[in-house]
Amino acid sequence: MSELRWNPLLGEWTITATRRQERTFLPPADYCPLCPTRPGAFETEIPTPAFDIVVFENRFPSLQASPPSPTVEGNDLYPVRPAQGVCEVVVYTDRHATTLAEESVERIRRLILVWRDRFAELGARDEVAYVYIFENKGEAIGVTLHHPHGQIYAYPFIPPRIARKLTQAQRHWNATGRDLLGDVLAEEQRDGRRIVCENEAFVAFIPFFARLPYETLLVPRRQVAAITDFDAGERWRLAEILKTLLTGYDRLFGFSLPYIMALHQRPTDGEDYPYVRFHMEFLPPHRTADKLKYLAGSESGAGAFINDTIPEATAPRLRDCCAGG
Amino acid sequence: MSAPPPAPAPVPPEPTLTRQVVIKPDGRRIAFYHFEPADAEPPPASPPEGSRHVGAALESAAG
Ligand SMILES: [Zn+2]
Repeated sequence: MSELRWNPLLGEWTITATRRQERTFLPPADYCPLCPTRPGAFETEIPTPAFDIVVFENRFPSLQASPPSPTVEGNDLYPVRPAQGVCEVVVYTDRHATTLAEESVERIRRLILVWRDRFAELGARDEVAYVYIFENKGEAIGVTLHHPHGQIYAYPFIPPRIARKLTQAQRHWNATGRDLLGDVLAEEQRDGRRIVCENEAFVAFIPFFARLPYETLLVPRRQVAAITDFDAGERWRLAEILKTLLTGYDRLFGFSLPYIMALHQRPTDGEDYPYVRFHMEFLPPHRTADKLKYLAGSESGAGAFINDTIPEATAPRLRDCCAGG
Repeated sequence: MSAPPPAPAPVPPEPTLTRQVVIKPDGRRIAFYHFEPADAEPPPASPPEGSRHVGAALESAAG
């Protein structure tokens, strides 16, 4: 049902995840599996009437701690591996009709504390090479479950886009002795035009090379490789700037903006990564209030992104929204 | 433009996190995170707003 199949053309793994289609129960029409279970009501994924933050293993995981044996035999051209790992769902709150942007800084900080705990626990497992924390938000991203939640994939390999970023950072480190993202941050600060918001510990900007109109990078001023390495002050500032940035996103077009939010950290495969700097990436698909950026021929087939805006023009708009405009 | 704001607000004391792990009947782990002190905000647990999410299935969360 689930296995890793090697793609020799791109040199990367594909995870197959054929899910059981049968339903073991028929939920009521208003059923939300991430809401708390009310007394006497249909049981949800979370069997308590109230909770702060809950993390549970996905019911249909692409990666499993004890994965089934692959359904096909591999060979030299097509290696196959069991899909070992973990897929978790992080439920941000027991309140259904809210979003991370609407939560208080204190509640966002509590989520950061949970992210830190998950990164430490999953990253300590021998079979986990990379802990990827992310959120898919909004129907434009294909999410139909609106209860505020994110996900964590603990992969048995370093995912290809992340591996590519690591290679670039390592090259830069070897050539200059500096971390690449630190130099990118310094350049964005020197230029200033693409900065969206900042505080004493973090800076958010639409990078010079942005592939999407409102794509942002959120980067710590201090070179920190993982969420476990921040101090308490930095965790609070991270919560603050997340609140500012997400609120700004929601003001941009006057609705709760869909996005992919991704945390990028050092791998947990036991190797040294002195050149890694923690960062968060936000990928909203909206170009305008009613137009989406689709990954079409050039992007999907060739991997060459075409951005029909420039960050020097989009960043001031988002910056005004973050400032309260 | 890239100068940090002049007077950063103070950092409130950080709550302590505890994790309580329960195994679901189907063998999956579920971790309840609690914070001490509890949040001073109004208590959560508003009823679900079901009509917006008719038929939402959990697997959509994995997408
Ligand atoms: Zn819900």
